[in-house]
Amino acid sequence: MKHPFACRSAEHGISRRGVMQTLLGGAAAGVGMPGMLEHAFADRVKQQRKQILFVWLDGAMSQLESWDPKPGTQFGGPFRDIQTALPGVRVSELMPNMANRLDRFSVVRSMHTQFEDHSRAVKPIQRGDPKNRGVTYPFFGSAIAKLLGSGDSGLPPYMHIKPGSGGFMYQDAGFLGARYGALALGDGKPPANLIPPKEITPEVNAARLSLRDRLNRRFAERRVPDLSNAYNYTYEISQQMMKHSDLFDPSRLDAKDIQRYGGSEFGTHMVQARRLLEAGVTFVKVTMYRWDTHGDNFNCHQDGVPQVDTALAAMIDDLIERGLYDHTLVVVMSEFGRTPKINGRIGRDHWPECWSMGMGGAGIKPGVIVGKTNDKGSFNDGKEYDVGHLFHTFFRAIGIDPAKTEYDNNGQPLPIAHDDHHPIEELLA
Amino acid sequence: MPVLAPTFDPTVTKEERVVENDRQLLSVQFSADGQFVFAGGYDGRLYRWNLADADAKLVGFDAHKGWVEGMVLHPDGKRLLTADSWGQVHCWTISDGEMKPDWTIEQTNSSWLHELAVSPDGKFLATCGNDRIVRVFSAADGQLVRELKGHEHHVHSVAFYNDGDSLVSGDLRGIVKHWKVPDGNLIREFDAGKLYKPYYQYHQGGVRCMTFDDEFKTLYCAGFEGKNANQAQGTPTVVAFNWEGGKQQIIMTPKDSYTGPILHVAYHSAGYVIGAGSSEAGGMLWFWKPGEEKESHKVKNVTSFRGFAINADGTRLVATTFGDRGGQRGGNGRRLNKEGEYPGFAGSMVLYSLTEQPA
Repeated sequence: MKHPFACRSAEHGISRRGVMQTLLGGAAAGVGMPGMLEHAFADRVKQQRKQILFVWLDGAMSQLESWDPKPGTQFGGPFRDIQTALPGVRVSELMPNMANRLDRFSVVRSMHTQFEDHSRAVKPIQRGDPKNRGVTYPFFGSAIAKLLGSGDSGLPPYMHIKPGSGGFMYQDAGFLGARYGALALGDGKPPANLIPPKEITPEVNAARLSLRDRLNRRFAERRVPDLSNAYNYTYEISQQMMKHSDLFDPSRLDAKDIQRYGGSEFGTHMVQARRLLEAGVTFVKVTMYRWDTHGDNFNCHQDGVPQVDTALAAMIDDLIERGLYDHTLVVVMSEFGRTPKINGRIGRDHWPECWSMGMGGAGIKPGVIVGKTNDKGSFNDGKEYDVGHLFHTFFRAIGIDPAKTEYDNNGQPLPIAHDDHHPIEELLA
Repeated sequence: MPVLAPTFDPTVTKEERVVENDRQLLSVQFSADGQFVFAGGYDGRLYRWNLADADAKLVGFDAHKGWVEGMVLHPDGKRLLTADSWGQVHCWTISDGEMKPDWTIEQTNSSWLHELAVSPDGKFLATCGNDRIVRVFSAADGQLVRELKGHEHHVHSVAFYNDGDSLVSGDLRGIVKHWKVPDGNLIREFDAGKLYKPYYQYHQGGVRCMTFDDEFKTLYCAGFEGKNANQAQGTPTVVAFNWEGGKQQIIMTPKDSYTGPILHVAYHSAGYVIGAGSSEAGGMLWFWKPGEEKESHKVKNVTSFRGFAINADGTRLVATTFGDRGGQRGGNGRRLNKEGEYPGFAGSMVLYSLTEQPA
């Protein structure tokens, strides 16, 4: 039976056995040992394989308290702005570290998207909001898992560090099939029962795997393969992760690193994300909740924006120092922005009319500020961009041309980004 | 026939007058004689309202750059001190004409100044803010006297005790510190942790405001008890402490399910603790008798309260509000007015009478 979710290109074809071989090969390289980690990512630097760090500020961070402040104006809020490393460009005083690094990062200040509530925005925005073709498009991470695969890391291509519960988030994958979903580390912790009981020796484990493999193949021959493949894949992942258990052990994170990243839960998750990138995970998503500030917006941002600022700045420093920044695309965004209007609860509501996001690293020209808003920050002043433009830009930045690349959904060709949109050329290096 | 003095009765609290402003208002104070009300705005301006003129509009003065968060009347009754969120403090001589600051402190707290207080003897001025430092200045000339360091989180509120050299400061985590100004020593702490709740990576709540009773025997700390959500969702709450022993005495909350923070609390000398609630659904004033958990009376307002002040003889209360009295609410997305413009919220001041006028 033809697998409806398989990419037709030979280099992206992932057989079950191939996955196992790749995963086991990665394990043999000893990725779990810190010293070997250095070796592993040094090799990868030579290969210049593209990776992505996707920071998702769920609930929507205010552009006015971050990348696009308007102090002293009607909607400006209580904070000041500060000078950045870019002459004439100012950001909120809550972002002193990124202000100093804005010559290494870029910002789009003229986003304009289509959805003004979370339920309609969160998923489409993370899917690049392509035209409706009757299928569920994959989240960015799943798209990358499909398009770039795991490389030689022997690790899942798409990992997600988030507060709360973890597990395998197969829904992210949409029509690509469950195996391209995200492996989520809830509260940064590894999946439960990652370490097998002592009674399960490697020999016993190998015998169990062999038996399981035979039974699974018989089962899959008579059924639609998607779910069984996904189960198998997650099982294989878990087997592989058992060999990398130290990589998922928060207690092994360097206390000084955590401090440099701000000491917050989000900062700790960013240190973990860096570690996963070093180990070769293709796409690492870090989610930070708490941004839906309909009330008490300014205290919330005073508390939260510095957490993002400190951790993001430390991440950029570390990626540069390790030689990873040139081929790691770093994206920081939400599902929309927040209203200029300050409501009766001293909050800001949802605002897709004009908002900001940031990106840097692989394929992105540093120090570029795209677009502008009017003096009050209420609407864009000039050209504006939708999330489709972002996805075109992301793909181009990591060497994938959306004009020449498409998904094959069981014979149905599908564009990887919105047909009518294009990259933001001024951002591309 | 003898002239009877008006008697305070919260149940007869009546809206006496409203003045509207095109920008939201925060801090507010009466002049010592009660003729004027001063308010500070989101636009950095200082506004004066002449109550002697029944038709008076607000007169605005350029004053600050950030939000005018703090405002206090000096005990001499002649000077008004104001502070903005950017950390600037002005001292004004109250006048019915053009007002210019007598002196200015350009930079007190480096990060979001929240409140300003003056000692009962009029010697000291204190500020607090998100740089976690309480700063004490001479109220005569604005010279820095002392920096009080030790809070680990944003400091939202500050109040002086009446012994001439003590003050208290309350922070985001509900910690209230009692300091001695002359040597900067920390004397003790009160735990108002009821007013703090973490939600994911958001530290929610804090001691948003404080006041003493008239005899300085009880310290009232107010804010809200957070729920499992951000957005300042929670029960308006006052935590009362016995000053002498430092013990928590009582927790005061509304009878109903109102949700939102208390952004200002004050003690009325007739024996009531008054708190002002802020919510999109409207503002609320609660009147609690000391020692009682639930209010004895409440007064609703169509717009959200931000601050209030009580005049010297306790007969009037004036509150600042934000929101549109015409019913405009916040909300998601593009909401334009009839002219196709995107309006901001307006503000207003509501003057209440607190007394039963003798017949």
